[in-house]
Amino acid sequence: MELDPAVLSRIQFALTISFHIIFPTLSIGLACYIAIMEGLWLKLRKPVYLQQAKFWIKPFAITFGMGVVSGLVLSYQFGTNFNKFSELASPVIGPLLNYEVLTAFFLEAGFLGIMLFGWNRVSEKIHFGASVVVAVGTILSAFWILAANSWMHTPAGVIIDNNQILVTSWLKVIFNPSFPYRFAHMLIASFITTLVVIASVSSYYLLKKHHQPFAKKSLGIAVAGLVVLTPIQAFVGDLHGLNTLEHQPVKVAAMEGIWETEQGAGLRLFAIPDQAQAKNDYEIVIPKLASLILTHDTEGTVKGLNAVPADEHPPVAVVFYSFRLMLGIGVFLLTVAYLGLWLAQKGSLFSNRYYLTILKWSAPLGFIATLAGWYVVEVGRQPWLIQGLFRTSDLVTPLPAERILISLIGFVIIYTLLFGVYLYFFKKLIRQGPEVISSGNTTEVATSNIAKANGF
Amino acid sequence: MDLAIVWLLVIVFGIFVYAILDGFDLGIGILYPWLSKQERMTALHSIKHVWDGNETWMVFAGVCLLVAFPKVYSLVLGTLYIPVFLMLFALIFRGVVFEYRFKADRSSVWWDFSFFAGSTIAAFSQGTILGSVLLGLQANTEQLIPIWLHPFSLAMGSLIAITYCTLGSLWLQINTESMLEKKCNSIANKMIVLFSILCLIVVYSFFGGFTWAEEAFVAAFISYKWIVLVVTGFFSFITIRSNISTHNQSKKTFLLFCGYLLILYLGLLNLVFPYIIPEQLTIWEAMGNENSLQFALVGVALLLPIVLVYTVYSYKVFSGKPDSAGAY
Repeated sequence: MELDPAVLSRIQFALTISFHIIFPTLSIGLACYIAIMEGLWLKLRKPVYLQQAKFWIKPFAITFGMGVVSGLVLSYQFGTNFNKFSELASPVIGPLLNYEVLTAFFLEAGFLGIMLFGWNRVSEKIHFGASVVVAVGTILSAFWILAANSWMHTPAGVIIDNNQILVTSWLKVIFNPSFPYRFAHMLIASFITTLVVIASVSSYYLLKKHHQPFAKKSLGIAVAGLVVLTPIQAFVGDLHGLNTLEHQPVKVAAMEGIWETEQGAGLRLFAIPDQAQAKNDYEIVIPKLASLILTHDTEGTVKGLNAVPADEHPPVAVVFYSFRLMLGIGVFLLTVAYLGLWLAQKGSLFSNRYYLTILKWSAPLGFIATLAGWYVVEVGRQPWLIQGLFRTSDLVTPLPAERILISLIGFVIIYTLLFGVYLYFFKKLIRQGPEVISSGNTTEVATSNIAKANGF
Repeated sequence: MDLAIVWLLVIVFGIFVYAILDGFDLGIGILYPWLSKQERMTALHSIKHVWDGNETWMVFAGVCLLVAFPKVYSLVLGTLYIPVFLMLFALIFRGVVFEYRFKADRSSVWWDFSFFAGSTIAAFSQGTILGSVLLGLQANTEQLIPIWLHPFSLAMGSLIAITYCTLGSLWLQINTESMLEKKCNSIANKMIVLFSILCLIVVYSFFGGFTWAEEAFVAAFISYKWIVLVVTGFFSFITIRSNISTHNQSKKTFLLFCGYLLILYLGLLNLVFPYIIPEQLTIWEAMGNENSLQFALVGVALLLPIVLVYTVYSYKVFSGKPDSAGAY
């Protein structure tokens, strides 16, 4: 079989970015959680908050480290595998990434050392400051990278002159039409994902009857957070979808599995999209619902995929199924959150073993939904690399296929290995559990425990 | 002032800071086989809070290159695909060691090996990349071997690895005590000599062979050769003299060696200028879009000084010899 270098480069990019995004998703949320817990401790002086911060810092550290090493690869992969893209889009992408390095990467790196190892080198307040700065750094990093990514979906603020991209307005480039929705959706996704992980770990402790006061505190916070955030996420997601309908109608058509433009379009609950025939098999449709959701009118018109030539169709099945997976998990987590609220009112949140078991196994769901969301967004943009302007296949580096295959195999092996190691150590940290922090002389006890836990 | 020159200076600065900072922590990894189990832990503890910031300078230099000279960025990374990925894989392997080594019980041997191999391969790949760029990304003989396996690229690979070893041993000398400090002092002295010899070999045996050096810069090059000899001799002498003095001068030696590197580095840039890839692209030909360069430059001018201030602060928080083994 003849291997296509363009396809291989795309597979490699998809693999490396999918692997990478798992870690920032968790580290953004954990950084904020740790900073808030440290702040609460400074204010209220209840040891359980310090215990939260000190415990979650360890999983945060390994997660952040994985994010750094896997992110490093991405910053060079534009050049290695998509060098025509890096040359063409550098007037836009370059400065945005440059601001990301200057406002986020350096900030995180500069204060991470103090946050992780500075407990008895700096005062409590400076340590809290360092934790806040790291959290702000993770959010700023998401800001710039999503500005760059959104621009590829809804390019604005530029003119194309002689096949060169020239920027006319930086404000329009950064705050391009889809950016606010994408940024909000991603941040909330990472908070939800993190809260689900925290809820899962807390449930595990409660089921095992370990570290109970600690686990009750964090489970309470996590469920409360999910009760607030899951409906907001549904709302923001809807707005994001409407924005996509306005700017990338073909992507929405793929998400909905609508081939022919329809008035009063139905919602496909299930279907098997057939790309070659440009139709669906085995459809189960709820009449008029897609129109109602997308246009807020049961007789509204929804553009179908066939409104554009077939060579401008994205891989429909991937988009269609990923969208359903993301949505399904979203609905599930919303239900779980409100079930938790109901149990809390009944006073059995911490003792209902069925509920705790569900939570315990829910840990990966946020990540799966986030990844599925990204596949909807990124695969849905194909065949364009920059929507409506440049095609992916025109911007890849003309490399021999074997060379990409070698690096791709390298990535598969290394990332599988690393992910196994990461999970092993993550579990190990969870099994170790939080340090015991007595109310008097808190800092000293905690630091000597940390030193012991680290093998010295 | 000319935007291309300003950006060249920013990149030159970024690469230099990277080479010094990540240089010492990569160097410690290369020196791992010469350290005992306990010494390795001490060494790792001395850099665990700075390695991430150090590596960020590489991302910074890379991104600046993307902004200012996109043609170079895409040409270099596309051509040097294999050594670039070798370097990235190696950096992954050594980077995760910082997270897992302290938490490992049974697997410590593997992590030690990963740290050594990762650091060595990363340093060596960086050298071969530099060498390939200096060769103009294409050897003038028939292309039997890839450019990054050209003898000159390999020599540059070794030179960079030795440079990092020297920085690593000097760093350890500053940040450790008693036996280990003495050991590092002796390693550092040997490394400085080795570095100087390797420099001379690279300059004398290879630079004469470059068409670009011969044709365009022949006059400068000839005088440069002698300057290298004088500078190398002088700096080796004062660095080693500083290092063997009985007073505690390890910080001064570290700075002297950095100065030594800076002079060689600026000499090399002077030789290449105004080309950015010799014989292929001058900085003006490779320059990106002016509006974008200006926009990004505002960020660099405003933020880089702040970055430098808090970087120094975070180094200061952890400065000094470790007070005890579990001092964090």
